[in-house]
Amino acid sequence: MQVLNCQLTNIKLLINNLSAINWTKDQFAKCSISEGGIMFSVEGSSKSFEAHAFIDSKFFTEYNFRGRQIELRINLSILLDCINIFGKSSYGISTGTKSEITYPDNQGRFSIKLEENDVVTQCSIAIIKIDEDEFYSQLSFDTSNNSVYLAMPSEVLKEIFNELDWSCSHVKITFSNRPGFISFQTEGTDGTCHIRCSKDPKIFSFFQISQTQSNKYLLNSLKACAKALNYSSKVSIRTNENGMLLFQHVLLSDSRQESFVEFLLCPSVDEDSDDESENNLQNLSTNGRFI
Amino acid sequence: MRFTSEISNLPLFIHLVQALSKIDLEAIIHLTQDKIIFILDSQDYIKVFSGVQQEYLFSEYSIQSLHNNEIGLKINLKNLLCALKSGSNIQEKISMKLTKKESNPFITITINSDESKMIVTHDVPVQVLTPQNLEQHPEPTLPEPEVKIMMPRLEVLQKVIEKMKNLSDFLIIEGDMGGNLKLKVETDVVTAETSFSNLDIVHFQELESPQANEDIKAVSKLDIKKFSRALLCSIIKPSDVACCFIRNSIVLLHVTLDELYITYYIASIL
Repeated sequence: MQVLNCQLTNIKLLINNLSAINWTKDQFAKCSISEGGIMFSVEGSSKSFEAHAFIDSKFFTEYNFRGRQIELRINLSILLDCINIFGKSSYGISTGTKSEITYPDNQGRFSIKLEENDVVTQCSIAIIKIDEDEFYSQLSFDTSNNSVYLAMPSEVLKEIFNELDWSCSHVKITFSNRPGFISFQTEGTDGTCHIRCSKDPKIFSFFQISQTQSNKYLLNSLKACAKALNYSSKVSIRTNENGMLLFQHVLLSDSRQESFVEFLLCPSVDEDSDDESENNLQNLSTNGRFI
Repeated sequence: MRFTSEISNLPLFIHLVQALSKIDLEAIIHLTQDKIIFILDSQDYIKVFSGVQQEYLFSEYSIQSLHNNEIGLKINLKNLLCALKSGSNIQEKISMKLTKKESNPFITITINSDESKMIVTHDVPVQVLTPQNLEQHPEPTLPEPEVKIMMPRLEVLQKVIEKMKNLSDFLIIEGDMGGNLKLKVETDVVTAETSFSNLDIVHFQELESPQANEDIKAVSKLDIKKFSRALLCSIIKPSDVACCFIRNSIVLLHVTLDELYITYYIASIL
């Protein structure tokens, strides 16, 4: 039986990565442990979106795991409460939080030991083992073939998201090479909101649109991605020809280590329109939809 | 029945009332010739008794009554806090008196500001208690605790308990005379235990050999929310907090700051 035993002095990296993919209480995550590191994946309730946080083995001061990948389901909210148990250190003379993660412990649970200033906390969380074929990532994105590829600082996207009307159900995001390059449109009972962004190279460190894309996405899914902006310094947006959206966040830790958190969103099928012919017309003009 | 006073240490008075109001809004104030005592006796599982020598809070203090010059009042701490807080920006005279208006008793807080030539008056309604009423709320006399240790820094405790509150409704607290304290939550899904060591122990009997003895242990299961509210006494910046375990059924937190004390009696959940 493979056993994971690893030590981490930079617990903040783990806290930030997991917090970026945690947006509700009682959220479960798939935890995949391999020789390369630990991947935490969360599925959105609508099943049209997924989030992933990968903690590379190189971030650990010690990482011991040999053998085939193990997968399990763990309550992410409980895991976060445990690793956050010492809270933010208020007095600066803290020696930092040392942590040690073991799976499985002698009760078959996911165990975390944290130590800060001679105070020791031992946590042990029950998990559900996953059989090989049970949970598989339903969404995949081929990053070699993008219709759109943009990169910008997180504050910029955060500003845009702050302007959106979150009371609506959907947002229509359009990427095109014509002026008004990137636009976000919402339509709700309170009114319509249209945000347009220019192609300013001072903002976008990378800007490439090879195909016009205009798709609607569930705002609830975008909300989760918005939360991650609080933890990331840079974010890139990609779409493929089917309108799938990929947000890749770069989280920078104190020790200048970069870690990544991803969000994949499927575009919504337009169900509002009763007129079938209009629907078909829309489908034709926006390069098909991912169903 | 007369009571007049002038408050000299308003910030401490406000912090004290704030800490107590986290436990309960209904309180009894027992005024004697030397002390002011707060009694919070209406909650389940937790009772608080807090006392301070009057010189510590007041620059002038005069009390007169037919019952040994003592007065007992029932008061709402939220109202009292509201009245006290309005004086917090003004450095001038703040007086606290027992008054009667239209045959109703009040604690009247008057704030005199010479600078802005403004006088602010708050009438906080109170209920005057008879000596018999007061006798119904005595401070508990309990057997000697088996374990008495000094708590670690309240800020650390507060952070840990804050997270543990999300995991369970019950806290298991364990202490021993070796200076070790353990806080634990346990559910079907998660177990989390935080251990503090090298804490000071308090010997109450000088006759016993003063060596730390890890074998003398005590454990109690408490309502975590009540315990968490007791820790809010950190607002008065206490100098010491002692934790006493009595017969595995009561945990006592004795918080001291010079002449001021707050004692929390927290009953175990069986």
